[in-house]
Amino acid sequence: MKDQDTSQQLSSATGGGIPLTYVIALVPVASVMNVIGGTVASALKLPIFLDMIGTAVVAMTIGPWWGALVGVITNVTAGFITGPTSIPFAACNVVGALIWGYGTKWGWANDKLKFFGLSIASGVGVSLMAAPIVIFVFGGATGHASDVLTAGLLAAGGDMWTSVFSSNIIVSSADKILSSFLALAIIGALPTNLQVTGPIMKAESMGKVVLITAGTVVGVILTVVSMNL
Amino acid sequence: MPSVPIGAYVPGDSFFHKIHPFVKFYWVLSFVFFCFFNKNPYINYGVALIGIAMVVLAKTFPSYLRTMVVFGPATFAMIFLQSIVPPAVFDNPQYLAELGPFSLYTDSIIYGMLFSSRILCIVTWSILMLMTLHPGELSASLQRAKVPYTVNFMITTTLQLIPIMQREFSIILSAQKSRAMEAKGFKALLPSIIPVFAGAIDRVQQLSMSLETRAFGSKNERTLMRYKEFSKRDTFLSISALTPIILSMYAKFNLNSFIPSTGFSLSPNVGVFIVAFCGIAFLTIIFGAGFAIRLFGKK
Repeated sequence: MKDQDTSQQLSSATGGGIPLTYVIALVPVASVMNVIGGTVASALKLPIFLDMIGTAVVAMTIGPWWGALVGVITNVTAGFITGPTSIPFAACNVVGALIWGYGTKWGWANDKLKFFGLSIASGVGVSLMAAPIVIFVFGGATGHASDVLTAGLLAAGGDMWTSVFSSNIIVSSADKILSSFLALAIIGALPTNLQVTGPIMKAESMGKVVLITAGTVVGVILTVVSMNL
Repeated sequence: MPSVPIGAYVPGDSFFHKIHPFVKFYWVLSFVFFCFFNKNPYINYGVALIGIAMVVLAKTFPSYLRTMVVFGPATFAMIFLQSIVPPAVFDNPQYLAELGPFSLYTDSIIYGMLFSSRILCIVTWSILMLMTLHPGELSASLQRAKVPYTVNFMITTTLQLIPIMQREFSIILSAQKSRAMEAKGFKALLPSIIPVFAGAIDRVQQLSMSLETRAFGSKNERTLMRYKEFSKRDTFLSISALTPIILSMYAKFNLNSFIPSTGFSLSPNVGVFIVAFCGIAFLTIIFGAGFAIRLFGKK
């Protein structure tokens, strides 16, 4: 009887219908997806991060705060491997999770155009959070390829804040669009009763996604350049 | 089957391997505090050098170097980026020299060095502590520190799964390469990432079933397979972890955070050399690492 009560409490904590053990298993695996995404990006020499795919999957399916937990666990665990410098970026993961999660709750993940807007919104949100961390904790550089872009903007006469934010938003918008659509593909492989946050559209073909991403990046670069001129 | 390394742990029997995980945590926290309050980069570099000596003594230098490959470009980039930007945070910046289109200022270079030395020092000491911390002890310590069991489980499971899935990714990438797939760029993204993530989803179901069958969520006290008792030596080391904090506070109020009374000075040649070296090193690592791997990997 006591066990049944506990079980009911646990399933209500996850929005009902999903056993808590499934969520407890999904959160660490999603955190590992984040880490592996980063490994894939560097192994394939991609100029993006791909370190929030797991966060997007959990935020869009189970809920924004579970996604935020995935983000925190990802960065805390990375802190246990490479030192505490990755921990401040947990805030970026939390912001991304909240945007994806609440966006899905408000029905933005059920339509192509709205989903694209949701991806861009998460890119902007994460950049707004990342820029102060990069400047105050790391002095403007984190060792990522985007530092070259920051150096270029600084050399062109930009100030530190504008340059860091501009380079971050260019990379982040591409990164978040790809991450969002990859998350859709993963969600398609998960049990349908897991989608408790809100309705989610079917995955798009990757060719289309790369084209959308390329178009967005060009748009963001043009905006950044015109704002810096 | 070869054992899969978990986290940053390097097996050994050094002094650092023997101390309690709480002591390591206190010292890392103390160094983070010290590095953020100290405004003299040379002192941070000195503390980092002591840390490197300890890394050598703990026989963990090769693993330390592998981790530092990630932070190398960042430490060079911090100095380079701060040096080429007009020094907005200083009232009367001290002009030093010209380097191509850039005007260099002593304050900007020192500011960049401060950021780089801070990260180098914190990373060196924390990596040393992590490389000598067994994951089993980490889990037991989190439990003793009253971290909720669920969160503790998630952290330790993540730590265990990372090397396993990294190995799966490298096997999949090798398999795709053997089928003549180009292993770089966006084209290679889906064929390499989908099999890894499909495996991950399978793992969620297996893990969930294992948890169900092993009474996950039971409120009974768990036994610990591996736990170090807190010895008198650990108490002494924990109290001594306050030293860097006290020192940095003393320096903040009495020694102007270790900034020399005459300020920092650099000769123009040294300043130009530092900025040019860091710029070249940063760009070489970012653009040249792949080339170097291809060049030396074949040999």
